[in-house]
Amino acid sequence: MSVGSAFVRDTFTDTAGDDVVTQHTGEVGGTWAAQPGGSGGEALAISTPTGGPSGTAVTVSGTFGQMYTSGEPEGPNYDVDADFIFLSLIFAFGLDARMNTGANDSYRCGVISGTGAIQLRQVVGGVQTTIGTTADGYVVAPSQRHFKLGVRNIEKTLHVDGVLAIYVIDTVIAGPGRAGVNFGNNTPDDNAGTHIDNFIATNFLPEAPIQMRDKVKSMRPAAFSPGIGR
Amino acid sequence: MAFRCYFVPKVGTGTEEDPFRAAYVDGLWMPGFCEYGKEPWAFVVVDVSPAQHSAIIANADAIAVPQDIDDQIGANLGTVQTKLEVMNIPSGWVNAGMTYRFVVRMILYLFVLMQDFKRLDVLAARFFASGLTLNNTVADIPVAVRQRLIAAAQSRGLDTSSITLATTIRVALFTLIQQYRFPLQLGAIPL
Repeated sequence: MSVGSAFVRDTFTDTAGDDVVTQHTGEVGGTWAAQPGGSGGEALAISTPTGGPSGTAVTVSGTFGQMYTSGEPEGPNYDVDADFIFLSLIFAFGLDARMNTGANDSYRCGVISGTGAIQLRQVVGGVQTTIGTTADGYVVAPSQRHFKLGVRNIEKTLHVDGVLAIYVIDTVIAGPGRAGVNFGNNTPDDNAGTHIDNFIATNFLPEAPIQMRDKVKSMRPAAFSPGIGR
Repeated sequence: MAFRCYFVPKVGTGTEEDPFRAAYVDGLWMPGFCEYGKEPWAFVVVDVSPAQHSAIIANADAIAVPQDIDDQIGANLGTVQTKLEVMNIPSGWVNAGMTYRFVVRMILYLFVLMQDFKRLDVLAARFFASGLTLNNTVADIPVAVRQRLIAAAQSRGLDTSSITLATTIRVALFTLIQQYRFPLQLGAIPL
């Protein structure tokens, strides 16, 4: 897989307490807005979690929902990455791809706070279907994990800390939509809850066709290296 | 622990707290999933212990695929065909010389077709609503549903020209899915 260009990048570098929607703009495509289907008044705030990096976002007490970014992907195939700082597992927080900006549609992953499992869901008109899950207890607190949600044609994947955890087939949401996050009720507390950092969404660029001579070259590594097998 | 494949019913109501999901595998690592569109079935890949596997197959409507999916169907042909028909999956094309991997791949092509069908109108009823069975003909399918099925097939470049109003649904569906050629993977299992 090739790495494409980032159409969203947000390190949440801003003043602690700032509202992410109204007082903050990420580095690339970094304007945030609420997707329909949330509690109303959805809010994220810049935070500084104890023991974690200084610029992160945390959800604000009493709100839940989804937020999408202003950056537009070149097509429907892309990755959404972020770091999650789990100070406690009392709230849901995760990544979304192919978000419809006018309806509650997306591929959505997140930690189920009651079990510590990460689930991948297909959400269409707010109707949710779990299309992949890790085992219970996969995420514990305190910890920091890196999630990568990949949407590629009919395949949807979730990597956690670089390890493939979920690989499913689902064609129900086809349009590119937007990248974003989903969250449950949280508190603006630097000592609890889940915080998110280093949000990035990257266009997927298919590899160029491999030329035969390149293929031969690439098939000649270790087995033919001097010293191997002597 | 080992990855095992199953066909299981879907349960749930579609809410955040009670999403539609595969039955019998709550709490387990389910790295692979493919739903039969809006039909009440899904194919799943699950990481299970022998005891967990036994618990899943203790349910009469859970269908386990053999652990070695490269086994041939062989003497199990009748059983396999019966179980497929229960899920409204055509089975007449399956023969004893086929491997489970091949049969599962063909079924997943059907599931992809029905997911495309679902995508075209996510609020509509499932395909086999209104008492339709595999033995009905295309003429028995409500016009709007028939048009959506054709649109789903054509969205993947499938040729629908040989399907007529007199074609049975089982033949029509197999005519479509046998045209798929793309590779599939679920969880860590290439199909």
